[in-house]
Amino acid sequence: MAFSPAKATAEMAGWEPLLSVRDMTVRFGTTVVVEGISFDVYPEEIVAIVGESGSGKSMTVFSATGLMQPGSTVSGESRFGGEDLLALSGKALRSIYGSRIGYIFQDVMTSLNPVRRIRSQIKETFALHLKASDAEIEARAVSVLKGCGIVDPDRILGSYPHELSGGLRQRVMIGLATGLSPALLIADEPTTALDTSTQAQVLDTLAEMSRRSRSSVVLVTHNLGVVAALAHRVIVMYCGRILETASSQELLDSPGHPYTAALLAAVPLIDHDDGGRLKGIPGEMPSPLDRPAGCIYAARCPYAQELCLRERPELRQADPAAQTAREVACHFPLVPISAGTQPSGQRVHS
Amino acid sequence: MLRYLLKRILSLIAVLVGMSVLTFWLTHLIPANPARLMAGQQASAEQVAEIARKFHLDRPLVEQYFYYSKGVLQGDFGNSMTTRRPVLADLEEFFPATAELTVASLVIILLLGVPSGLLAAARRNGWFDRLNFAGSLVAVSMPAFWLGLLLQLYFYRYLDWLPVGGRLAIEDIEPDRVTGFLTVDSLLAGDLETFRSALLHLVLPSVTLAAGSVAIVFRMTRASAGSVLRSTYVRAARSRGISERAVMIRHVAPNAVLPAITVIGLQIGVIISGSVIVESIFSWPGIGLYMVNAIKYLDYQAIVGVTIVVSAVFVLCNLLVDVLYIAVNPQMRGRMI
Repeated sequence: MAFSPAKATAEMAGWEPLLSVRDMTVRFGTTVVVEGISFDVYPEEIVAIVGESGSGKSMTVFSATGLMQPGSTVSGESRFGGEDLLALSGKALRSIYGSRIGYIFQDVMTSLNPVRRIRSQIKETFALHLKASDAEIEARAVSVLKGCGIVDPDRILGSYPHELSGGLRQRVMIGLATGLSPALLIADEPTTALDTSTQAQVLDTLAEMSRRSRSSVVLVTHNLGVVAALAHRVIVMYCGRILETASSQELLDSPGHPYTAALLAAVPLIDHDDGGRLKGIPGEMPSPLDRPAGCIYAARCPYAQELCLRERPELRQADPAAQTAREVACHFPLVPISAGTQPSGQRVHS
Repeated sequence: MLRYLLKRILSLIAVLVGMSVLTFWLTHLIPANPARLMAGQQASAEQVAEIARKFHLDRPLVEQYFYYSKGVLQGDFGNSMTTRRPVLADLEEFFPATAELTVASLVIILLLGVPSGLLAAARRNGWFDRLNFAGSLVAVSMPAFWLGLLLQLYFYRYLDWLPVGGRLAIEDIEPDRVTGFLTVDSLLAGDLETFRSALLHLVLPSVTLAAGSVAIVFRMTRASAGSVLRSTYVRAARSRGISERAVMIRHVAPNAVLPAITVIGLQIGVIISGSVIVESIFSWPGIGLYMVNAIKYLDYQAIVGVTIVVSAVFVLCNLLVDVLYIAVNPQMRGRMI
C-alpha cells in the first residue's frame, strides 16, 4: 500500500492544488456528457477516477486538460499552474503538453505511430521541449527507457512499434509521457489492454516513474484493484457526475455512496463462497440524451426515495468531525454527512 | 522477400500466358479472313491461299497459337499488316510516347492527388475540402473524350496557350533518340527550345488522362488521412505538444499514403487504357493510337502484340508498386523478409 498524503493532509499542509477543475461541463451539441464537475489534484498525489464505461471519466480528464474530443464544447474552468487550461490557445497548450502534462493512453497497440521507429518518436518529443544537442537527447531517451524497466534500450529505440509486445509498448509510452518530468501525468486506463501478468509490472513502472519525476497522477480506471494498489484518493463518477470522492483507504473500507458500494460488491473475488456467481449492478446507466431530473443513480439505487427522483443531490463534505476529506453526492449516504446541510427526508436503509 | 518476389513473378507469367491465349482466341473469333485482308482486294484465291499457308492461317487455332507464342518467345511478334513492319519495331517506335504520357500523368496524379487529399483531410469540411470534393466528382464523372475536347477548345482555340496535339510542333527539331522521351532526349541534347515545346505538348493530354485518377487518389488519400487523424497515435502525438503541421507531415502523411500507393498502382492500368482515347484526340503518336488503327484494319498481329506488351507493362508496374508498398511499410517489411 502506498503512502497517503491524501487531500486532507495536503490541505492541512497548505498546499495549493496543482490542477483545479471548477464546474466543468462537456457537451456534444446539446447532449451533456460531463455535468458541472469540480475536483482538485494536489502535487505528487495519485488520484484515481473510477466508473463504468460511459461514465465520462476519460472525457473528464482529457477535457479538463484542454485535449478535447472533436465536436465537444467545454465550459467551466481548469486551473493548472495559474493558467486556465480551458482558455489557453493551442500554441500555449502545446508548450505544456509533453513537458508539463504527460499522457498515457489505453490502447497500447495503436498509441505509437506504426511507420516510425521508437527512437524518432521519442526524440521528436524530447527535442521539441528541450534545448539540447542530439547526443544529449539520445542519452536522455536511453536513460528514460532504462528507468522504465527496459533492459536493452538501444534495441527498443531501433524497433518499430509492431515489433514490441504490449507491455513494452506501454513502457515506451510511460517513458514518453514521464521523460520530461511533467508535473501532471494523465493515465487513461493504462493497463486495460494488457494481460494480467504484465499489468502489475507496468503499474509498478508507472508508480516508480511518477515518484521519480514527482508528478501528480490522474489515473482513469475501472479496476478497483488498481485503485487499492496505487491511488491516494478516488473520484467515483457515474453518468458524467461525481458521486463520491474520498481517500482510497476510506472508500474501500466504507463506501459512502450506494453506487460505490455496488461497485465494490461487483468486484469478483477468487475466494468468494457464493458459487462463483458474479454480482452485477441491475439496470442500466441513463442515456445522456435522457438525463433524469433527480439523482442520476436513483433508477438503479436500492435506497432511492421519492426525494431522489425529484431533487439532484450536490457533492457535500462528510462529517468534519471525522477528519476526512470525503464528499458524497447522495440524499441518503451510507456514512454520516456534516450536520446542517442534511436535507429533509427520512433515511431508510432496509 | 525473395520468396515473395519469386511467387509474384511466377504468377505474373501465368497471367501473361492466360492473357495472350485470351486475346489470340478473341481476335480470331472475328468473322473475317485475315489472309484475304492481307492479300488485298484484287488478290486471287490462289494468292489468298498462299498467304494463309505462309502465316499458318490454314492450321487449327491451337496450332496457330503455338507458332505465334514460339515467335513471341524469340522476340518476333509477327508483322503488322498496316505498317508492313515487324510489330516489335512498331512497338519500339510508339511505346516511348505512351510511356512518356503515362509518366507525366502519374506525376500529375502524385503531385495533385496526394497533397490535396492530405490538405482536405486536415481541414475537413473547409472550403478547400468542399471545392476539391466537388471537383473530384466532376473529374470522375467527365469522360476523357469530352474533357479533352473542352481543354483543346479553351486552351488552344480561345487562349492559344497550349498546342492542340502531337508531341512537337512542325518547326521543332526532333532530338536524337536516346530514351524515346522527347522531354528527356531534348534535355540530353541541350535543346531547351524543344524541351519547352515537348513539355507544353504534354500538358493537355496528360491532364486529360490524369483527371479521373487524380480525383480517385484525392478521395483515397483524404479518406485514409481522415482515419489516421482519428487514430490514437495522432492523438498521442498531439498530447506531446507536437504542432498540427508536424503531426500532418510526420505522423499522418506517411501512414495515409500507404493505401494510396496501391490505388496509384491500379491507376496505371486506367491510364494505359485511357491512352487509346486520349492519343486519338490529341494525335499523340503512341501505342494507343497505333492500337486504334490496328483494330480499325483488323491487324491481328498488331492487336495481339500490343495487348501482350501492355498487359506485361501493367502487371510489372503493379508488382513494382506492391514491392514499393512493402518497402515503405515497416509492418509489411517485417512479415516479408
